[in-house]
Amino acid sequence: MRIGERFELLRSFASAAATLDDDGDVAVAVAPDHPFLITGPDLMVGRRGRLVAAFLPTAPEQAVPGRVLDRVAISRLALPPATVTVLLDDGPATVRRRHFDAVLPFAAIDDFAGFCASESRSTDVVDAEVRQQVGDRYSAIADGTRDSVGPYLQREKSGEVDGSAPRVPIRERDAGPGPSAASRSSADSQGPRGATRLTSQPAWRPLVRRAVLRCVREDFELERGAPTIRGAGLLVHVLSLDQVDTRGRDPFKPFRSAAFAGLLLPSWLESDGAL
Amino acid sequence: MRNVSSRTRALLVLVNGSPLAEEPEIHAIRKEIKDISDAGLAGHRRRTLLQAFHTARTLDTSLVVFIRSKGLGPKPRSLRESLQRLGTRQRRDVAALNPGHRDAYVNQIVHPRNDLMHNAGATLSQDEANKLLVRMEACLVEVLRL
Repeated sequence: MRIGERFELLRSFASAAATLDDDGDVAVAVAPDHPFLITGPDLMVGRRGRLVAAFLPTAPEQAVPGRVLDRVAISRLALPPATVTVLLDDGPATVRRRHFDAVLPFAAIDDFAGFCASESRSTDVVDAEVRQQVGDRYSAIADGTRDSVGPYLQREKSGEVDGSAPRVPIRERDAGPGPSAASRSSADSQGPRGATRLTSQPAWRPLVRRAVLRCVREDFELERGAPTIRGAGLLVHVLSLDQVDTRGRDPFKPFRSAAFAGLLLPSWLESDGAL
Repeated sequence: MRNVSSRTRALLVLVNGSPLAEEPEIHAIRKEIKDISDAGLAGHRRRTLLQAFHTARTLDTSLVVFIRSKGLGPKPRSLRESLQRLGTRQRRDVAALNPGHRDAYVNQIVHPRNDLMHNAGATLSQDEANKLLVRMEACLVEVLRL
């Protein structure tokens, strides 16, 4: 599906939901600009205390079964705990269906409006302890000092996390395949603590987005649509970029959304300090 | 200002889809959020003041209503008190702001907001205004996820 077609489809679903509006009770946003999400729901509908987040898998997400669930997981961590999710998908039924409150084909535009008008809920609320741990890690990274990140390192060094095998404190990480051959060839040296340092990275946003999703995949798994923490506990990940674009109205968003997913961007800290 | 309407639209959806929507103040909160966007049409000086003003009122009221809807104690008398309340874990089913982050919000939001609102002639550069606005927005959405 082309980008234009994708946008038109989302607009059709959004328009259908907007028709529910009675006295300003419905608010709809396509590609919502959420302060903590560099990648999130494609469509959100808020009505009478119930938030619906809809996901339309991208072509890369469709190519890998379950990949869209990474985006669902980080979204559910950032959104109110009882957020209801919808998968918009014309593909065959798969195991991921159980993670959504509804799965609708592209033609089911009226059904989407009906779902937004209903009060049905089926998947689990995100556990408060998970939300707390994610918030605490975000705070540690946003603060950005050795003192704040230290406990995550100490916990790993002492191997005291449920007796599991110690893992690398701040793990070496690459962001998966780069956006272009030119940008890939610029990876040239090792940054602090073994993080991959990329120089002259022109397309930093897709890189951060992929790194965020990879962190989510490693840190969380979904149980009936609600993220739970994998293994022994949350860690801090590092992605070292030489440049992060700080233009625009919300220059903190790259760092904030990365930090929320557990990803520290040292160059951002060096350039702008605390969040 | 770029993307004011897309961010404020997201805020509108979030409060509409949160427990705040079931409280009587929701109409006033929605109006404040719409006024943030409308303020973008004013000249620079008035725009920054109006946006800070409407965003601050959105945040103030939303936090008070959130605290009440979650049963987190009596009505706070100030934004600082709201943040302090939200920085203490009181219920198993409601997370808390991390204390360090709560203090950062006090330093980065409460102090500059008070300076701006309570001093004649006070104004903000576009950069300062952007930072204050996005920090208030981030604070609101972080509370809504607790």
